[in-house]
Amino acid sequence: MKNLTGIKLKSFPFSNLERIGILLYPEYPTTVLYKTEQRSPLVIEWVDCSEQNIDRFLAYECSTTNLLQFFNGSLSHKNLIRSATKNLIVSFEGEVSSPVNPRIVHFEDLPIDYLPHEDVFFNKREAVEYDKILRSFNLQIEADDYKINDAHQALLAEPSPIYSKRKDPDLLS
Amino acid sequence: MELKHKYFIEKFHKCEIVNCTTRNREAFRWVFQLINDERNFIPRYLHSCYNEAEKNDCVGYALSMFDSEEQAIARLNILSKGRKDLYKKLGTHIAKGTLTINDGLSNNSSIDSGTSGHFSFFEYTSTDLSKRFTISKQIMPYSKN
Repeated sequence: MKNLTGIKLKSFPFSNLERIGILLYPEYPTTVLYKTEQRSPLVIEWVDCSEQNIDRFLAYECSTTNLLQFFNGSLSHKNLIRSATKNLIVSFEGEVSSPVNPRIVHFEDLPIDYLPHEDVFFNKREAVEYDKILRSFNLQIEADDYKINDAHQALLAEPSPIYSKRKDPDLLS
Repeated sequence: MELKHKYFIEKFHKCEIVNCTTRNREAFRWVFQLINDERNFIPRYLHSCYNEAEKNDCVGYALSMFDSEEQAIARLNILSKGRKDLYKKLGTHIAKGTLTINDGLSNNSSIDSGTSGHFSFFEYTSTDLSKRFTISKQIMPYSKN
């Protein structure tokens, strides 16, 4: 796993979490929504795992306003993380039910590989339990709001230049 | 022939399997370096990261496949933009094989731009794809410039 700098905590600061549902992706649950004791949204993102298959996650609260902006395409995934409530992002390893090694990490100190690409916005077609999450937080998306997503979906359909033959001829030989 | 995960699949009232048929087709799948890696041909719902309540679609007990190597790489590229290291969970290589009518059931390939060429494959009990697929290309990790 990548090195991560942060302030070590004695315990994981979020307790009695209610798992609401998987948001992204159908192939693997990288982004899962929870509800805190105060009934606010908490996002847990899978970001890495070790060779021994120990997983690392990031946990952060977000406002329902920001979550709604993420869903209607006006806030990117990276900026959703950046706008974590109280700028509090907590990394931990193991499992959500028994987190170990909790640390407060600053957004600026996160490895770039732990963050979505700049142009990644929410795509409803990639969502898993989207309706359940909307209901749980009483969020309503107006039909017109999805217009923004169409442009972003076109961006997502393009292959990442990082993996193009022009940049990595050896990789694709 | 019996489905490999029939016990789970038959619990769903509505299942994509009704749209699946037996057919001979070439297939490509994300796998890890060694073809007999135990992670290679496991349906996602058999991973511990899913709660029982989240297993709400029978295709979770199927295997994701693609019609071509390029389409498999394209889909991983899309996912990698959202989570760079997701290949550590999904696979570092592409494997190629031929599915026959004796191996299981598959649906029509997706024509959606984000998942073009993807199809779901429900194995029969006797099917062992680790003996039928071969590694065709390494795709991850990439070398940074």
